[in-house]
Amino acid sequence: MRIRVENLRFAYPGRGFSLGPPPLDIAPGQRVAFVGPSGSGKTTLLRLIAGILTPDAGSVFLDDTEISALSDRERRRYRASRIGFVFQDFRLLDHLDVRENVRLPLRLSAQHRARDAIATRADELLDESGILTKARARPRTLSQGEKQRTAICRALVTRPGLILADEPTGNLDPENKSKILGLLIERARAADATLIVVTHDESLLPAFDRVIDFAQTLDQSLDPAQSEAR
Amino acid sequence: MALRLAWAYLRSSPGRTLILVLCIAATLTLPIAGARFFVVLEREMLARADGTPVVIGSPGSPADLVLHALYFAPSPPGELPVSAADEVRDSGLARPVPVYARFTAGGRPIVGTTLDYFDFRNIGLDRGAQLARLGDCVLGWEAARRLGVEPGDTLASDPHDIFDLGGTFPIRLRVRGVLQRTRSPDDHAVFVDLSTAWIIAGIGHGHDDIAEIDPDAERTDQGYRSGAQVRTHTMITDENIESFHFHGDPDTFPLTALIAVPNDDRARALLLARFVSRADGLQALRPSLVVADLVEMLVPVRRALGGYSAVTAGVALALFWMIVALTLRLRRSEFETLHDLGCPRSTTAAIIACEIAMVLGLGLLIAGVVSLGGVELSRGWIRTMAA
Repeated sequence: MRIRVENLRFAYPGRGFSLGPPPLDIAPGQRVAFVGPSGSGKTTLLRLIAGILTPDAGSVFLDDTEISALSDRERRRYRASRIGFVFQDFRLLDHLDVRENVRLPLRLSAQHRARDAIATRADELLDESGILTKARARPRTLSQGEKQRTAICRALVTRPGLILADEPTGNLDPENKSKILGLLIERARAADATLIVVTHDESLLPAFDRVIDFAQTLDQSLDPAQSEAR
Repeated sequence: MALRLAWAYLRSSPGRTLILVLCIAATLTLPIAGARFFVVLEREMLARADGTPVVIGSPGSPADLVLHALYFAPSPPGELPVSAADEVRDSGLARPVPVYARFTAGGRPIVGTTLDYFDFRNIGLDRGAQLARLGDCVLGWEAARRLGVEPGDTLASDPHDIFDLGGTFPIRLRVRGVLQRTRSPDDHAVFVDLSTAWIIAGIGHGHDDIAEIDPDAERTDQGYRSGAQVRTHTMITDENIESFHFHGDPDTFPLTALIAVPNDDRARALLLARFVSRADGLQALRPSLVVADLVEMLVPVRRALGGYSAVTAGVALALFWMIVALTLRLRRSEFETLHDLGCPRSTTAAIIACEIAMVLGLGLLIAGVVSLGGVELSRGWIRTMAA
């Protein structure tokens, strides 16, 4: 999936933070890392691309769809069927077991409601990620690495064209970091999906095709006084 | 989808869900059971009354008279002479069904009546045979079960007054049959012939032939005067039945109530009119009207219970709402995750609604089963209450 960001402007109301990145064009299948200091707007841009947030001005195109121009309902549908999201703190639902957590986006997506497909697709991914034996376990009983593997399976289950990962290795030990990132990149490549990962960890950057450093390239400000002066 | 997620959430913490459901069930049980209890109580009271067209009895409380005639209430009103039954029969307006229920056997009321009573109430025999002679009794289904007696056994009437040393002896009755179950006060009664009831009352008795037992007995104008060696029979047998006899004017023998079964509505109206402002004070009543007045007395109790239930339900709802609000706050990140994954807000709202509906529904179901089942199981007790 190709991603284009044009003339984007976004500000959180009353929080003195504004984001105005330069034009951005990410080619289909590219693996991109967003790096930069905390609060530099990496996660905000990721959420704008996902259509979770809507920009104050400018456009976000996913292939030919201007997601920023869609209604809330349309963006939700688009997100559920075309975008996979991996969160830093996993955000697995504790009252569902691993298998049901992975199946959740399939159930949310109107395009993937076939019962058999839901059943087999989730188990395939769990098997490929080495956690099929944990399919009936509750998330609270898993290790950090297992939780993130589950979250990755959940992001991949709808075969999305775009995978967004917000610091997916932030809560992992060094050994698990490279394993999880390796898994994410491998799964994205296998699915021929575009991958954007927000990370602080420079040791992981060689695995990416492209690195976008928010500290140098993006027009952003952290200081409320500065943003107001601007 | 919403239903599946809601059920998964409730199932993930069975203890918490169970406590919530039981709290709701406990809150709802009392109002439902109370409402149902009054419905059943009224129905039971009115059903028996509706099935009894007219009751005639001595002057006094109409409620006492009707409750006695319908339920054989343990404190009978005054008495009326058996001639009242003849008067009703002779009028051609109604069929009289006499009731004399002043004594007990094994704590169950002994109802002296005629075979007409069983026709009138449409009660057949479950086992054994009907009353055949003096001293026989047939038992209601529940009375037989509770007393553990069967046809062929005997059953003694309870002593009238243990301090009345000169009083009549308890009579040992021959159990002839057990009646079909009717789920009415008749199930709890011991039925005897009217004459047997009068013997229990001491109006009639049987004893040895004085001339045979005591040759020295002094003959007087009224009969023999004898010593203590003359035995009074306490059980009526084929051998001694001839010795039983009554003293006094048979027309004055007592009844505690007289049920009249009029030929039609007109006959009922005429019969009721005949018992207005009589010199002997006897009254004729329509039990359905008397019981309806009694039921009216339950209205304030019912209202009080309704008010209490409303307050309790209000408090419970407020608490429930607080629990839901706190839970939603604790689960904010879960709902944000669902939204970020593409779940519409309407589905999130549906999940919450399903959870609330399931908890309330389960609570209501348990409350319904417990309260309605409890009232159904207590029907016998409610009938006793109604009496």
